[in-house]
Amino acid sequence: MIHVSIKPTSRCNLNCLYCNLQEKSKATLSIVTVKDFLSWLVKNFPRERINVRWGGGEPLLTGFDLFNFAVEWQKRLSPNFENEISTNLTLLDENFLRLFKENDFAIFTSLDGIGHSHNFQRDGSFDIVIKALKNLKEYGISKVFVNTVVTKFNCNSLEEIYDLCESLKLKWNFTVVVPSGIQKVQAEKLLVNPVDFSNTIIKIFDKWFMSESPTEILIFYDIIRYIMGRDNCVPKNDPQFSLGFDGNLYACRLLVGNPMYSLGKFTGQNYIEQPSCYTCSYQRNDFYHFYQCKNCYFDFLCNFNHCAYLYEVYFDVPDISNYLCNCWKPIYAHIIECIRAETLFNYQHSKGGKNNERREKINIIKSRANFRRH
Amino acid sequence: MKDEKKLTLLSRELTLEDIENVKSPALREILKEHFLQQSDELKHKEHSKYSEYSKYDKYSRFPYCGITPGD
Repeated sequence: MIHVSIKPTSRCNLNCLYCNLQEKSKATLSIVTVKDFLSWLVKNFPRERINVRWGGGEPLLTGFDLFNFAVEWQKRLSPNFENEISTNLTLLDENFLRLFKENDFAIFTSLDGIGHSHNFQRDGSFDIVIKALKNLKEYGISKVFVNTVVTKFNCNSLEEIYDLCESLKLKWNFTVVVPSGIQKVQAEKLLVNPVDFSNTIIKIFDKWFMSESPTEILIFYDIIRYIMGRDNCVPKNDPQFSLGFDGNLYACRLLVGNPMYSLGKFTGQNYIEQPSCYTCSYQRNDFYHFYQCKNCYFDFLCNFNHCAYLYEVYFDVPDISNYLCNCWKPIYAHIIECIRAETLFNYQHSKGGKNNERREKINIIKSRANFRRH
Repeated sequence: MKDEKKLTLLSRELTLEDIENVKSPALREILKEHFLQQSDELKHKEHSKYSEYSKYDKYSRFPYCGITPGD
């Protein structure tokens, strides 16, 4: 699969407290550029599935025509396209609803709280977002992913958001706020206490873990599957690159707008030798050898991203990397412990010659987890 | 060295019967999916039944280290 990100604009109609855009530019991708880019993708990767993620800024600001044309052009080019979009939902209208439904878009949006806490962080958009979420449900659009950016102001209401997502059958996720981009100074005042964050998430995890019909929380599924040995982060061998609003190609969607990482202007004739996220791979390698990650028990879960991502944003490793580690390590330890408890229970009740070997392995894991936890 | 830290073997050595006895519904489903991925025969037979979580692989953005929407 090819992972492609198209960011047609960096403009946005909201002014969220923690916005991480590197810059707000008036530049917008033209329909012609998008058309050429889609054609170029199919020409270079004719047999691959192509996952297109529309982002921004607020991508819907570029208007219905761009998306309608892009989808129709995709259909003419290849049956291998699939689309997802990150939007704040405030501009969602009947046209977009119909387009998303008919073309099986996955929708990614934000919900930072119930009422005031969302309005405080996301420019007073709560009522519009809730109405849009209900509209998506009425239209039968099922792939709706809601993300909550956790700050010290909404950490206490995470359980309410979880319950709301459960009632609306939404898929939920959460991130810790990271000060970067144009709102960096303001966002620094929003940092959540790591102990509060991890305790709240652990409480929600326990509720989710034993729920008979658990809400789909992708990050929990991901962590458990990574613990079981699945490859971490973006699929390492899958090509991925982004087309920015400035018309430049980038190796990763997180780097769009940063000229240092530009692969050059998209011309339709570009040749990319290895269009994977080489910068991330390079940095992760560095962190493994030189940074505190080397001795971290949880590096196989984080894959050095706590540091590597921040490096991409700051061009340096700030103290905030420790902050992120403090937020996540207790959660990782708790999840490992929960899995161990469940599987150990089964182990004790099972029969067979491999039990001793298995017990040894589980004990090693248990001792490591306990050691790191304390 | 890194591979030793992974708990892969933990789940690989569980039988389907073990997994059925896991109390957590969420963990049970994930283990089933993982188990079936290890077993080609079962995967062939029942993949469609347990492919619910696999299909989210492409949406995975883990780890979410503060990446905010718009990305």
